[in-house]
Amino acid sequence: MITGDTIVAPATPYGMSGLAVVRISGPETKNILAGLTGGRTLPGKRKASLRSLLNTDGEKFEEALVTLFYSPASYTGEDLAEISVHGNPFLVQQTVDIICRLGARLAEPGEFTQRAFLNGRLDLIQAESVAALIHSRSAAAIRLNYRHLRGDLSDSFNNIKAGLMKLIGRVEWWLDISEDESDPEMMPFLKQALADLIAEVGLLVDTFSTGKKINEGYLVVIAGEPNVGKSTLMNALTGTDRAITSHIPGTTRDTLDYSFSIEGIPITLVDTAGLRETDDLLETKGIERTRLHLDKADLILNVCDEIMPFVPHDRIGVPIVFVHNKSDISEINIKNRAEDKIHYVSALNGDGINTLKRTIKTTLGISGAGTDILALTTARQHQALVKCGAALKNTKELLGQEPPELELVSVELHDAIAGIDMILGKTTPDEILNSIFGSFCVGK
Amino acid sequence: MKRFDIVVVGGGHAGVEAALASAKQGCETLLVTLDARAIARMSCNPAIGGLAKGQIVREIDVLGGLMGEAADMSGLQFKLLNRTKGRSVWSPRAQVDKRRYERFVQEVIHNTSKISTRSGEVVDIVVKSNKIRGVRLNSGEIINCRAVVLTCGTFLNGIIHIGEKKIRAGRMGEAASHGITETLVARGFKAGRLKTGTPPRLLKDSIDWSKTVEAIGDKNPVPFSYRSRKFRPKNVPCHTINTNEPCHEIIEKNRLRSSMFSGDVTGAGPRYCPSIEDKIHRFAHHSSHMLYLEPEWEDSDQIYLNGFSTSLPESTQVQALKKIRGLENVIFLRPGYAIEYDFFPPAQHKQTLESKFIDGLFFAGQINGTSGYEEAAAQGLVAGLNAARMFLGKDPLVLNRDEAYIGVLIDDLITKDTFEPYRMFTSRAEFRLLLRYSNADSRLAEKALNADIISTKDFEWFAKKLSTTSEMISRLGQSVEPQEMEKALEKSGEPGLRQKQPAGGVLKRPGISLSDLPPRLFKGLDISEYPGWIRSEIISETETAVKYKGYIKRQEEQVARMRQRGSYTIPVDIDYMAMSALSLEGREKLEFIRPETLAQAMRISGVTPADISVLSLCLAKRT
Repeated sequence: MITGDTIVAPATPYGMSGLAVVRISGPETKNILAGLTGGRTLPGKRKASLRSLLNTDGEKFEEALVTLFYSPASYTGEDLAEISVHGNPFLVQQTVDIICRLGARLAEPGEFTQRAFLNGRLDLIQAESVAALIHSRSAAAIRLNYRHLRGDLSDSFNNIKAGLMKLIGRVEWWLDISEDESDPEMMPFLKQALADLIAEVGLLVDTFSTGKKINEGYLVVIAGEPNVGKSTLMNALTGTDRAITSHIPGTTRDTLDYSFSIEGIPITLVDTAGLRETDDLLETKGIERTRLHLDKADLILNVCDEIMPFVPHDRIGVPIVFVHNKSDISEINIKNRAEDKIHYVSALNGDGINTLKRTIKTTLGISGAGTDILALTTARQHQALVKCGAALKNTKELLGQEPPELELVSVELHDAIAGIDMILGKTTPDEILNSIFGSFCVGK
Repeated sequence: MKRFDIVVVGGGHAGVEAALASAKQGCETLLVTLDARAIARMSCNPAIGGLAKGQIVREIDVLGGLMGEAADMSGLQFKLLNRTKGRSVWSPRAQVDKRRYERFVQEVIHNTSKISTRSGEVVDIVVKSNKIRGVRLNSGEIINCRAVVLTCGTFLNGIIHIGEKKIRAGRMGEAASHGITETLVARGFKAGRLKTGTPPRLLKDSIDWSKTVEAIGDKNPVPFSYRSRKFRPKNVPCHTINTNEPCHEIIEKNRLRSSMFSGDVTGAGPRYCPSIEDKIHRFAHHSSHMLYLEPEWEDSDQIYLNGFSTSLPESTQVQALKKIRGLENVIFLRPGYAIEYDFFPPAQHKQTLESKFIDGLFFAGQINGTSGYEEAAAQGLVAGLNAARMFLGKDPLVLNRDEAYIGVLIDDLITKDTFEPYRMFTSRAEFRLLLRYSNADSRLAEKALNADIISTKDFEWFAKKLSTTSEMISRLGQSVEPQEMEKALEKSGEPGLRQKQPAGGVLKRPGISLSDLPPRLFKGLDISEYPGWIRSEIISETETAVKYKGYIKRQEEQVARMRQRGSYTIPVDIDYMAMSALSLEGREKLEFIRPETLAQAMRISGVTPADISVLSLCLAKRT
């Protein structure tokens, strides 16, 4: 896959549709396109042009809109063509087959993006965000991944790197070039610059849990005694008939999940079997599963009604929202009980459901659907920054010693840069020297 | 006529070490130079060593080279730089008597029976089926040999620039050398152009010394060479003065007349050694720069004005300097100048410094785009030694990046683009903590013995010193009692011990040194036979081993990882041009340099991490 051959794949999903797009990338793209269109002149750069497509017998079988991107100004950096045909899966298959016979091969999953990365069109963060953008399941995730693709997160990493280079440049200048035995301005500069960097890295590290949630969705678990109306609540929140409901306690045996979003925030809502002692083998298994979900939950909706009380929970640190269901048949005056922060809802007729949704959102700690935050989304990004942060903390400790061993500081700063390099690519000693020559007057 | 195995072209610092290393291998060696009286001449500053360079001199010394000894014999003052900074950046430097230095070296050369010298100009090499068979002199005479080491310095098509004036020369007053560049380029070698500069030389009596500040060397000087057992150097002072705004004004006004700015000089100059006009222009907010007045030899009437490298017209140089306090009546013996010369990008050579195209042709020194006496000497030693070992059919000496600055130097040369004269910096070494001037012996003595460049007697001396150090380190496993450490800990502001503790743990604390530990720990370990500076070195190495233990271990782990990558060799027949997934620049660089291992490929400038992924995938596919 790295030998630079030409690849082809449908870029749209399988099925009937108005249009379908077939993409070709690689050095043979122009020749293949010429063959496919019966030797007609190639379309101009990025100019959508109508062409008849010919099968291998030279017969026209389709009218298509063809756009040709010339290397290096294309998604992959290679010559690339997009062919829009009518959205019939057999027609798409036929087109791909002919292109393969003309010298291309079927692309492997992600290969177009891989080529974009290998050709330097995308950095690693951007390449990662392409897949994330395609799989985004909510408005917030789309916004976040789009910002990553645009390079906003790469910019943050580049900023941190620039700060590190400034710091290490000063240290290396001191060790490597200056023949002075003391410099009263250096230590205050180093300490301040380091404190700024530690804060910046710390902030970004903390965004990981949010970023991960925005892509993967928050896990909200509905729990409570049997027959308090958990499944009815699930249906009411998601606006579906996903869960079977009945008045028989223990109707829900297995856990059920459904992904939806509340004002752009992706949520996986899980309906669970009611917690009770039972001899029923299936129900017991269901209850086990309930406990597993409760352990992973980002938020628990603890449901009760006027007969069944709340089930006490021993999980610490997970926010719990108490929901009193069946307010329609309850005699309790809702208004009088508002200060207890219990949500009174009628899952059956929908009363109080919107208020509950808002509470879920604010309790998850997300303010507004326009979450314009920048957040780490992959474990790789997180791990790299954690490594960087640890090295910076060691640096701080070394700078606090008397006398500070600056050559050890340099080792730690190199480690911090190595962390960033896992994301941005390698730093060479020349870059450090360049940073020195760029900012200090050197030479005896 | 006498038959020669090895011919060394050029008698500078590279040529001298090359000839000596070759002779030590028992090869009949001929040193051809334009002027035999100028062998080992110091063209520029009257000093040896300095930051990172001092470490190189130590390494040369352990590898049996002459530079350290020569500097010790001719030193006017010695200073261990960076003493208040980290242990790995401590670097020795000496001001030397240039005349005594070259006399000492010339004597050694003339007393080495396997070296013959000859004045002459080599204009071509004789090659048969890609193997060196001899050199041709400008007289037409051919000298047969099996290997050639080219160390032509700044002499290849050298042009001196002083303002608008241009002089063809290799050094002021010495003819340049012509022919070699052209013949090598005709054989397919790539050549480039670099520039360097030198400051004016002033008449001693024209300087008002009462207006200068004295700078002396260390009271307890440390020599470069382990062979310098009787070392009692002088401590001749240097002096400093400062530039001022009137001086800057004149320079800035005439800046465009400098050949560096007028566009006359095409070669790239070193950023780390900028000319005074460059410094003043780029750092306009500095109202003053320090200059150093250094004697070129003892009682010299000629003073080297360090820090004032320039290619301004001579009249401007004089005018500007006369504004400086102390130089009001200065008289020039020689103006500062820039010199442009040819070099051969060293990416065309192997790790042994042998050409990749012609067997038996070696390159060393400024011809490889480096700057500095020390960098040149180090390459000369490696090239001369490997030329001789190739001739003898023995394994070459290759030093790695974690073993020596010389290893870093050569690896950088063969994998990096040369945009400016290459000078060593400690920050070029990723394993700086392991490359101390004070542990050059533990890094290199065994390698030197195996390469037959030091005697068994020398090696045994090193081995004994090193075993003393490790014995001292192992003694630190003993415990010390709280009361034994009370005073020392109090003095350095450290909390006292609650119970007895291993001595090493206490030594790790900041501010605690070996002399704070109770002497009973080292009972029976007698180091009094060593001179004071060796004793200090043993003690300092012991302290370093303890205090830096964690960091040294970390670097050693990184070395292990790098070595593992280094073990992935790239087949010689690999076709980079066919790998279209490589970036265009990456492809061209890899094709030109043809790295021997994946680790080396990773260090090539212009080769991106993405290129390395492509390359490693291709390599995996082939196997």
